[in-house]
Amino acid sequence: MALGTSLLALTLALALLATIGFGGERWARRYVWLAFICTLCACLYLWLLIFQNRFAIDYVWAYSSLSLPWFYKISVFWAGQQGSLLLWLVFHAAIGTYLIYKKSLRRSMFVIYFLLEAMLALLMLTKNPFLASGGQIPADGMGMNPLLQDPWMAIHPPLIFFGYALLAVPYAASLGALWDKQQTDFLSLTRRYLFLSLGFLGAGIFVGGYWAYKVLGWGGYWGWDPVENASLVPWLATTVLAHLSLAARRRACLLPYVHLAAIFAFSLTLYGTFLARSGLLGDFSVHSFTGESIGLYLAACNALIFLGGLAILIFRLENLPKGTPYTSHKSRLFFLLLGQILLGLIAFIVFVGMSMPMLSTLWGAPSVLDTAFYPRVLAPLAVALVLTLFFSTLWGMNKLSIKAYAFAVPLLLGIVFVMRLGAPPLWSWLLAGGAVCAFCSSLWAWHKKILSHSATLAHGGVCLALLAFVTTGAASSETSLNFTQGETQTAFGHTLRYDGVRYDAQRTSKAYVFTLDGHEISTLTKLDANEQPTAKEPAIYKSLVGDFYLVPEPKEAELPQVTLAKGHTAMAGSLAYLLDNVEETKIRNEILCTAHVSITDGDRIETVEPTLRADALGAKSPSVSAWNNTFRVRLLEVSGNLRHVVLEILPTETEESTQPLAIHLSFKPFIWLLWLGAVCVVLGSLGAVRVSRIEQGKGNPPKV
Amino acid sequence: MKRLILLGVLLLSFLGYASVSLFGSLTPYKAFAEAKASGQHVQIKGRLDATTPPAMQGQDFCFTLDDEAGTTLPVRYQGAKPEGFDEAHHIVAVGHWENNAFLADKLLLKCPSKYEREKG
Repeated sequence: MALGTSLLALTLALALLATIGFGGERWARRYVWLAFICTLCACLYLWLLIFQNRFAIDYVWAYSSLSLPWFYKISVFWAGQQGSLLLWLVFHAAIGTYLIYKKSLRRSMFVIYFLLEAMLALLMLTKNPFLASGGQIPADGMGMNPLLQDPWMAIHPPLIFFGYALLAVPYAASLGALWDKQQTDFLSLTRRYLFLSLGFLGAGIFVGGYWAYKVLGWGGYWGWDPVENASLVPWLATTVLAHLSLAARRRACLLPYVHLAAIFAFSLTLYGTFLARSGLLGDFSVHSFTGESIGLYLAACNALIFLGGLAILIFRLENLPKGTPYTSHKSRLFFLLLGQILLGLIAFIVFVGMSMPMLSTLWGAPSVLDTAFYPRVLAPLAVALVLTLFFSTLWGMNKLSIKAYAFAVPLLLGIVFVMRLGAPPLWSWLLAGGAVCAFCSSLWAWHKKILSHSATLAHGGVCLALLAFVTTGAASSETSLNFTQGETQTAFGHTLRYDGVRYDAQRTSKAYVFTLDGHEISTLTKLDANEQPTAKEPAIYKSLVGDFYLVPEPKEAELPQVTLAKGHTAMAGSLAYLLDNVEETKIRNEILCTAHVSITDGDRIETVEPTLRADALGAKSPSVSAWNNTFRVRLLEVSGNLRHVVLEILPTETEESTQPLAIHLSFKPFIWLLWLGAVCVVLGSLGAVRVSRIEQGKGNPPKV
Repeated sequence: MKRLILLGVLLLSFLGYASVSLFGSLTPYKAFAEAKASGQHVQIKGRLDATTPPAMQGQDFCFTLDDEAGTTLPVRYQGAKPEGFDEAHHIVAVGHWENNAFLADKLLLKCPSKYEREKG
């Protein structure tokens, strides 16, 4: 406990020593290494505490439990806020150490980078995961939210936070270059970190969206929740930064915008963390965060990083190169810049939207924004964006240029495609047509060696994803159906049969089983120790034309209960229940009650022994099979004097299967285009880490 | 130059459209009394009233909310009882006052849940 805190404090001290350069440059480098080793040890120590089930530690108690599988114990590390920040810190320190190892940091960049590290370390001390709660040590932890016990969610935070941490390099390098009055040198240094960050942030967002689709069961992948938006805005800003950095290598007069984008990109990651974690959005977001004292400190850091960066930029503005950014409107560069303005505008609108609960307090009552605002306002921008993408490749083709009307074909193809799916609004036709056009022009440009492999992948991926937004957003259809066991109904031209409920052997989960066109599909409902549903995952049947998305909506039936007094007989249904005895055993902080109940129909007698285990976290009472497996009983209550119990009578699997079931069924046409597009965007971003052959002058470099 | 002006005009008209849309999509937080009096589309927040049990009335799910001042407000939600309703310690409802009930089109449940630490 004290060890973890000391390691964090040591990291802070070392980062500060490195920043001020105490003892000269050689020592500064040693401090960096030591700081990294300290944070790494802190991380290993946190994992050790988690794997040793040290529930005295608040963080371990709040997110882990004895029964959690070992692979999810790894992800307990970043299940909460404190651990996520520690993850950020260790990534930041690791990247810093790598930079030192590669000797690629100038002194000014070094100072800024490790000042950021000190800031993060200080943040860690205020949000310390190593704090003990005091008092009695709990026997078991609260456990991880069952919704988060999913492989996709387990890798989501490391992806996002690695992306965040990488963004510190362009920020520090940009400010360092401004400080030293350097021009474009820093662009080649930051390139690999910038595109890595773009890839990881993108991957994190897509993994989050896929998880939401697969697990949450509300039918979508993106809900415009403030927490989702808080990760989208930095990704958009990083995209702008990446494009401007590439363009600025040829046009130095774009440098001021590169610096501005670098400052914005890093500040926005912090702003997102601030907004999500400050508790300001407590009443507006489905991600329920309680008010945290962290808000003020984060706000101060944020202001310092943003305003400090801006001040340096303004101070050095006159040293930066000047000139006209582009010569002709019919040039690739003009459309590239226009595209960045559009991306910036999208980021700005999402930023304003997600900040609205806070901004609206400036003039009145805090207000919530209807999420329908986003697609309504962003759709025209998305149309403009695909058209820009289309024209930017078209006008990059020098003498190879082909006539624009050749692209009327894909435009029409796209429109006909979504019309056939039945997407009504005009913008969705334009968006789909434009996306197919831009997709074709990207491929054409790749064929003519104007676009690199990675740029083609990324741009093509964006087009596919936008097309999928149309097919799944405007053209998906849904319906509600009621089923009884064995019944077959037709929906969206397919046959669907309900086969019943199936429990797993330990009764930790149950599935509603269906047969769709001869294929079995099933939902997954995770159950807690009392067999109450916790996480409900939908059943998804994937096909080339789209996904069938099935969400069961079982009615919560009032289960019959029977109250028993010791030595007395009570009737329930056609059976008589007699409470013979109740045993109570105390093991440490746990109480185990076992009721011995005889059940009889007059001829036959059967004894059941349901148990109830109570500890500081509440009671756990699994059901047991009774009466030759025709129903199940569960111990609901035991009186203090052990003379009265309440039994709950539950149906068996077979009996539950016969109950009617309501479902919500939707069809999402071509949603796989979105996953494919997302994978392409991520691979394209990561591929751009390396300088392409086209940039080296091999191929047909476009006129800029 | 002409094209730049055209772009500027396009940009400004878009921003105009965006801000109109933005202010049209805002739903303010209101106290119960204000929500009743104005009849506007607002957002309210309260605890579930323990004395009146929630129940389905036809297709609607009805319950009563208490605010911090102790005022009560009957809510009629157009839909089935949402998941986790019984565990919620706070309920946020979006809708408007009509026919002696708050007609909610959206509910947001704030669940302390087993997985979140209660403060204090």
